[in-house]
Amino acid sequence: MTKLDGCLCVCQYVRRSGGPFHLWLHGGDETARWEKLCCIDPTSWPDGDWRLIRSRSIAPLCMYGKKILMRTGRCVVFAVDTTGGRAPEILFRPDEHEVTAGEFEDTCYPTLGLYEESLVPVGRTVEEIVFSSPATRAWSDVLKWLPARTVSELSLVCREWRAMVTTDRFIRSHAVHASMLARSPRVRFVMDPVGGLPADIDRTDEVYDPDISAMPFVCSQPCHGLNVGSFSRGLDFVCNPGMDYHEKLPVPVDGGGDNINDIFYGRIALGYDEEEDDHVVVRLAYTEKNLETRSYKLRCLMRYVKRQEWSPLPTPPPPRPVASATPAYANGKIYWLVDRALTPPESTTSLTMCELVALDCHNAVACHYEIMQGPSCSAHGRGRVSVVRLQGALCVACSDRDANTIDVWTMKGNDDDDDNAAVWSIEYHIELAEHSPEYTSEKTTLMGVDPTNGRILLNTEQSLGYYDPKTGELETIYRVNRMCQEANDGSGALYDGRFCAVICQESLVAIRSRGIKLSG
Amino acid sequence: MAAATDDAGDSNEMIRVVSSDGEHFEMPEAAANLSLVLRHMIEDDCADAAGIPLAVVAAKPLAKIVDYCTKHAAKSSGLTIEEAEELKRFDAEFIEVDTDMLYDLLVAADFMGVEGLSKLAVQRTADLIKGKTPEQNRETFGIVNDFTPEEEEEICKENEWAFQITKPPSRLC
Repeated sequence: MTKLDGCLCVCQYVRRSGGPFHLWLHGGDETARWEKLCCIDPTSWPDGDWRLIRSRSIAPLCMYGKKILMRTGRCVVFAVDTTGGRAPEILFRPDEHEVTAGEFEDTCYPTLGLYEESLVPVGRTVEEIVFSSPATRAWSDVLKWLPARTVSELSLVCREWRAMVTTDRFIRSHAVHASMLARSPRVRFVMDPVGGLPADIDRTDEVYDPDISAMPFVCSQPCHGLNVGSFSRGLDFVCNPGMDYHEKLPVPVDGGGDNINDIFYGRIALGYDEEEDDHVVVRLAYTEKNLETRSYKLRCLMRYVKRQEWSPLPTPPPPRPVASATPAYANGKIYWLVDRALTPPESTTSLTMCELVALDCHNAVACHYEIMQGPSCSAHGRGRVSVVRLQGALCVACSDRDANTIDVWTMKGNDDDDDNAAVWSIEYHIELAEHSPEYTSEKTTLMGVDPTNGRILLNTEQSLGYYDPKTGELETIYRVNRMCQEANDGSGALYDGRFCAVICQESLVAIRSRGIKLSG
Repeated sequence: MAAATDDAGDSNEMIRVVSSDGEHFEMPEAAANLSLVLRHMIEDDCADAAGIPLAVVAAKPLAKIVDYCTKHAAKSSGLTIEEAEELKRFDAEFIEVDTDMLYDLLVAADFMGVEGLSKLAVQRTADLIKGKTPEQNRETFGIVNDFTPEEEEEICKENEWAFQITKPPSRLC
């Protein structure tokens, strides 16, 4: 059925036999009757023409005087005479034009149509319409500063508000602004998933203990409202713990190349690509690693969170072996520590320096890596080195096991035009001797700084506490109740449990579109 | 522009603006410069005797904005502690307005790109919104609830799900 010459038209034909077409026109309100326009019989056409025209779907496009323009499912256009009989005139065949070169698959859908020249705009995007109102822009300026939960409740006020707060533009702007306010960090626990996806509970929820896991698992610092994490069993996930959104990041069938027994903390990193306006996840795994010969093979996978799949393009790994330490995202770059045990000994110009490798997340798929010198932290007693973002700045934390202290170095003055000229200085000095053995430099990591009072949140995976760098005091805000428990894997083994605590940012960023329930 | 006023920097010149309802206002150039939109107009030599028309700003809020800009422009640099305190008091009093005016200021400040006033109005509005139910917020700001009861219920459900505190049964022995 179609429209022809301003009338409703029915085109009837038996597809298989190639029999005649019957075209009927409806007289509209005047006659309210179907009238036969013509009958076109292809049997009298030359063979070549019919072979070209033959299709699962043939339908009229328009009529000029006594000529009818027809299209086929293979995108052939031809004209026939309403008087019938005469050979069709082929007006367009896709194989004859450069742009459409080749044959089109035969389809029963209308693949070809007429258009009218027009200046009528197709329309703006929903976002453009929503934000074209000055009032909406003004409300958006207010709501972007409010906590995610409040904004979510306010989406009930009216359609205009709801339309605004559900746009990507608002969600992005909210993620930036709501976390700019000086609030004490909100800590949640990520629960070890048994089968399904992890769940989160608030630290303030005293009724339920966080799940305690036999195997360590890690979750990143927040980055534009999302965190990534991974469980040692090989489950990686991206989440917005503030809103209980989790999504698994399954690796391709051929595997990520992981060695399950080797817990590699550099495995997963999260950054934000301003150009793509999306989060980028980088997953690393050693497929080969030989400490004696210092040879290794590093495999790298990359994905944008919204695209829901790993990039099919080969992604070059960082040009240095990455250490088993959680990466950090700061200044638009993901930073990994370099594993000194795998770098050639001759390249280690100064034994006291640590090295970092960074990925520029601006157009991350370009894989623009850079290598930079870290602070000279190995000068102290033997200890651990880690990278962390504190108050927006990239920091390197170096622990000194003998003195039971952690020095936190921060990078200053690494302008783009002055690469590798980073100047490192000590920002914090954390003394843990007094707080040992609950907190020791070996097992303590830094989670963040409370902007309201400058205290540093320390995490041992069994205790959480705020350390005041000015006074050296430490206030424990949470500790595991039962240290020794039975593993939940049914093996009956006992272990010292650990939890996985994350700082969540105020954010409405949902991994999928809102309203789709995730299992678990 | 007249040659006499060409040696810029002399901000004694008065800038004329016209509200959407046709009222004329005057303010010193330094005050007008606090508005991004006006500053660009002045730089592009669009400020003439007829005045710069502001299509979405009515006379009432525009009078307030002219007040605000004039006050802040007079005390823009090198503030003493007392002067800063005074400006703070001025701001606090200035923003004590009914919600209609607050809303007008919010929209106008955003439109005209007056950063300080925008912040002030945003902060005041956020304070009014916080801790209120959606219904109370509708009342405060005179917003009509245009959802059907079914839609409202659906959104409620979605929010509830998004913010539920997960309480799985304890799997610990």
